[in-house]
Amino acid sequence: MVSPDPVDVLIVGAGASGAAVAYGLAETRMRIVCLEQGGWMNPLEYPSTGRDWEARGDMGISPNRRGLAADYPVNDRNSPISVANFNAVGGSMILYAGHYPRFHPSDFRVRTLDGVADDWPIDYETLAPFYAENDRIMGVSGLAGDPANPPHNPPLPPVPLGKSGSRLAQGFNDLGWHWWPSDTAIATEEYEGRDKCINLGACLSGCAQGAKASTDVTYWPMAMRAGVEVRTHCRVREITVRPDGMAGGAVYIDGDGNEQFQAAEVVIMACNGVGTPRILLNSSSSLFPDGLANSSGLVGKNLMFHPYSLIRGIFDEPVDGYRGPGVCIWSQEFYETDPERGYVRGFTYEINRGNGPVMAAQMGMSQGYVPWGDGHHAGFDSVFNRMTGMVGICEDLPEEHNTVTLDADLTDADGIPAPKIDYTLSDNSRRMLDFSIDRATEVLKAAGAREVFSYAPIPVGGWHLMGTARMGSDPDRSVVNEWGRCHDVKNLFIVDGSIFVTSGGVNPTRTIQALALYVADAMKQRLANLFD
Amino acid sequence: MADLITSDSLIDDKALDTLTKLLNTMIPPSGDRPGAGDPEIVRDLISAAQELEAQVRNVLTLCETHALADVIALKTPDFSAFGALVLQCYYRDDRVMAAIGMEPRSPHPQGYDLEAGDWSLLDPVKARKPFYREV
Repeated sequence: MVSPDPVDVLIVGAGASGAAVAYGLAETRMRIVCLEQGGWMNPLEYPSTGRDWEARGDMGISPNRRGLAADYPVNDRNSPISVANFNAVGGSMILYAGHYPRFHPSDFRVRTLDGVADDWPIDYETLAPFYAENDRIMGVSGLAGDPANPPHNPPLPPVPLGKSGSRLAQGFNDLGWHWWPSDTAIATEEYEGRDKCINLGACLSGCAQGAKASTDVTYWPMAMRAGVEVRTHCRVREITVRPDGMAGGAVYIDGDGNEQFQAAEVVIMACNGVGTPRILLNSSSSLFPDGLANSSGLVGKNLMFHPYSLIRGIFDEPVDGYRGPGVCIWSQEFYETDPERGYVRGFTYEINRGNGPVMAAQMGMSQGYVPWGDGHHAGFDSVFNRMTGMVGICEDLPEEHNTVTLDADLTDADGIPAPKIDYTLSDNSRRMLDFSIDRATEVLKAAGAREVFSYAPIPVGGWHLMGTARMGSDPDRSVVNEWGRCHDVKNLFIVDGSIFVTSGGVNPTRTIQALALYVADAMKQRLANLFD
Repeated sequence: MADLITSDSLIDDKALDTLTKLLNTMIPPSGDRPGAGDPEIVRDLISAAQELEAQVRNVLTLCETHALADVIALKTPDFSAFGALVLQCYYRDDRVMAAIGMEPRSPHPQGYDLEAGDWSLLDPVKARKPFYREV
């Protein structure tokens, strides 16, 4: 183990939040280093550049199936929803759809409004300027004026409606229900050196065009020009603690398999809702026998996914099929609580366009529309370019029995304990999923679908990982304070989805990044007395 | 049988015959669409099967004791993995892509055209008052 000179700020994780907090702090001219277990991606090697673009297992969402050197295994056998992620500079944004909604003001006041979960110690207005700054850096496309959301002005025009969006919009209109062109992290025009979307239809396996905003093509180039160092293929094993109880730095395994130590004055965790508690729990010591920053016992608890419903209609007329981007319009008609629906909180419909031929055939087969044998071609023709629909992104409430712990046996390639997920779908989530399916079925039929199929939850849909190091003002009931600093360790910060108090009913990345910018700003405001 | 998967040149004639028949049973030729047992598609499948060697071997072994239609109907896990591989190889064949209306190419770098859609549909939504919950 070597001990390089201490840095001022050590960030663990180069994904959505690590990049944003690095950029936010770069103007301080502090020495900032980010450790990332993955490497830099080469967009020209993404699946859409090849004929096997629907068959590339190395760009799948499951770390267990992918099994790349940068990945660590996840024991999620005791969960109906498995973890989806990606480990690289840019993190899971490499594979996200770019659907990019904001939280609503009500999402920060869940206890006050609905008597469940907890309120956040901050509110929408606190984050609003950081949402705007993040929108500018990421290059958000959308349309101002959505009546379901507070006013904001995306810097780029919305993605096309296409045939799929127009058809489903008609269905929503017939029922008098809300829809709006989605805010997306997809450049619809050339923006800050990024090319515009050319409808590759392969957002979920990386954007070869560079139109989809992931931090490897947005924040990181700016942060690195400002002097931040990104050290790739460095897997952090634990955060060390000095005798005075402050974080001392990180022990990590470098790309050659050698153990290294990086000392730091400040450590920032940015590994999201599974990776961050995994490292904190693996950082136990005599001062912190239950894991670092875990005097509340809440590190790794209150894990929230967004349970997803999937609803698809089959139409007689062509829809967009394999032509992307996959995101299109959203509906937040059922976002806010209505007690008559039989559950609390709500969800967003993210409307998707369609699929390539392989996925269309597989989905058609799974639903019995496409057989093997003589009927194969007719069955295929009935679904290919004829299938569109939506997913329902359902708010998940925090429950302490939903946990990330360290697996007793499973380890990664470096011998670091793997995370173990124990998660149960709540009755509230089940009712919400059922409601989302029923209403979506009505929309699709109003839009002209001749067949509708659905299922929930999407078993591989654990994209959103939140709540496992929650924010709060009470050290007994939270891990970090209202500006991201751990109650127990005053030079240890967390900026990722693990600090979410509640999950909202939307994709979380935009809020994660706004939070990271907010925490960076809070640190800058307090530099003279950051550890008081 | 392992040679069948790892080297095209070492394919046993009997195994190749079985594989071809099975593939053409799964996706038979029709009009301008070749069957999945077309020699070019079989070659692609064999080349792509490296990581599924055991599953493919198991499926072909099953063919020795069962009718091909029964092998398909049994829906074993090995057959499911094999079937996914068949779809991946079949629907990237130039002739198949042309027959289903796609240009025989990768999505990048040309991309695709996507119509703007009917934005007048948004007029009634624009007329709606804000309905997000005030706090």
